[in-house]
Amino acid sequence: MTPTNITDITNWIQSLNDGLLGHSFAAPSFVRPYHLVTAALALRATKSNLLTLPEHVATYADRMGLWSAIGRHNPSFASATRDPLARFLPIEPLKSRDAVHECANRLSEIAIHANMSEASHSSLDVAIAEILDNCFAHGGVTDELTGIACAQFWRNGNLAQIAIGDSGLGIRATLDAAETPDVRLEGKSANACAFATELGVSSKLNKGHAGYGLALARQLMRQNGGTLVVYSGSEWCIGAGEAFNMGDQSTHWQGSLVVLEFNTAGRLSTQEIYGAWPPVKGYENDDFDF
Amino acid sequence: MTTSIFKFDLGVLGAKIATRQDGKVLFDDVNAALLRYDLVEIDFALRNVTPSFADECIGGVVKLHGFAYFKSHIKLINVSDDARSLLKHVISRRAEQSLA
Repeated sequence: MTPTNITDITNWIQSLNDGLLGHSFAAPSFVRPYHLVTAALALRATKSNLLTLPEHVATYADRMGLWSAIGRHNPSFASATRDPLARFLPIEPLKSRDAVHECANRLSEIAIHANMSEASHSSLDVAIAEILDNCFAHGGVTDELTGIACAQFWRNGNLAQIAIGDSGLGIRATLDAAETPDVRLEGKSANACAFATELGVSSKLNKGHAGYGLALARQLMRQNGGTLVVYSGSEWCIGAGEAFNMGDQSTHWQGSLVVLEFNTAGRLSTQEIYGAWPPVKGYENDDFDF
Repeated sequence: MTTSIFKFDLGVLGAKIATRQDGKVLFDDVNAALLRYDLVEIDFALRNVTPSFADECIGGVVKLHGFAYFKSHIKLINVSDDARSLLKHVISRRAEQSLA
């Protein structure tokens, strides 16, 4: 099973954009959570029925609970009847910041389905909670549905994917509005998605935020040999193992999409990552008595 | 001489430890307790908290009161190895800022 790559995601977003305009619609042969998250948000954003999902996508969407998540009826005859070979967690509609804790708990159960260790499960839970909280803290979404998330595990591929998306302002607009001049200025010349994955980068440093969320996700996926994709507006970045690339596309996604894809035979350890964060001068282990 | 202690237990059912908002709730509660008690004890019940929660709550107390005050008035117990690494980072970072 091949890891998700940026070409796949860009092509899919372009297809969605074409579909929203009523043009012909190129569907993927193999559907992953990011397809559903973006399709759900695109369907939610449009009041028309111009965007009709191909049958195999619609079947998967039905199984994952897409229609109820966006408050619509299934418009097609396609419905899921068989048990899937792969394990999946239905689409999570992100409606309330108060529900982030429970939502992250449910999504991180994919690690349990995949027989990952409790430490990996807990680490994943923490990373997901951070990203979900970002949707509420930075997304600027006015719709009652702030975002969408879902997860799937493919046993035969030892691979799992969690996709989280919102239809908010996007990372570029958020950085441009940062109240700390350093972040605003440095962000202007940087790829917004890549910049946002650096430890300590946040548009709200003056409001107590510290820039942990996407940095933790990036480091966790690198540790695992997995993949992190951040796509927002026309900018994207992808970390695949040790490699990290970024770019700018004509293909535009309204909002932000974060995809975490990881090897379920590997591990996820936030403890190791925290331990590797730069120490603050002047403080030793002896200073802490817990 | 006796020391008055107030305890928070993050292991109780329903204790949310995910978001900055969750952290702010505990931050406010801890500060309120610090006005009335000599020592505030926070039992992490070996749960792993998010960096944002830890930063908002524990880091927030350090930034507001300073590291010396934190050490003498806050006691963290049942901290998991994972959370310990995180808390050391968060506390020292906010302690540095409280000096600035």
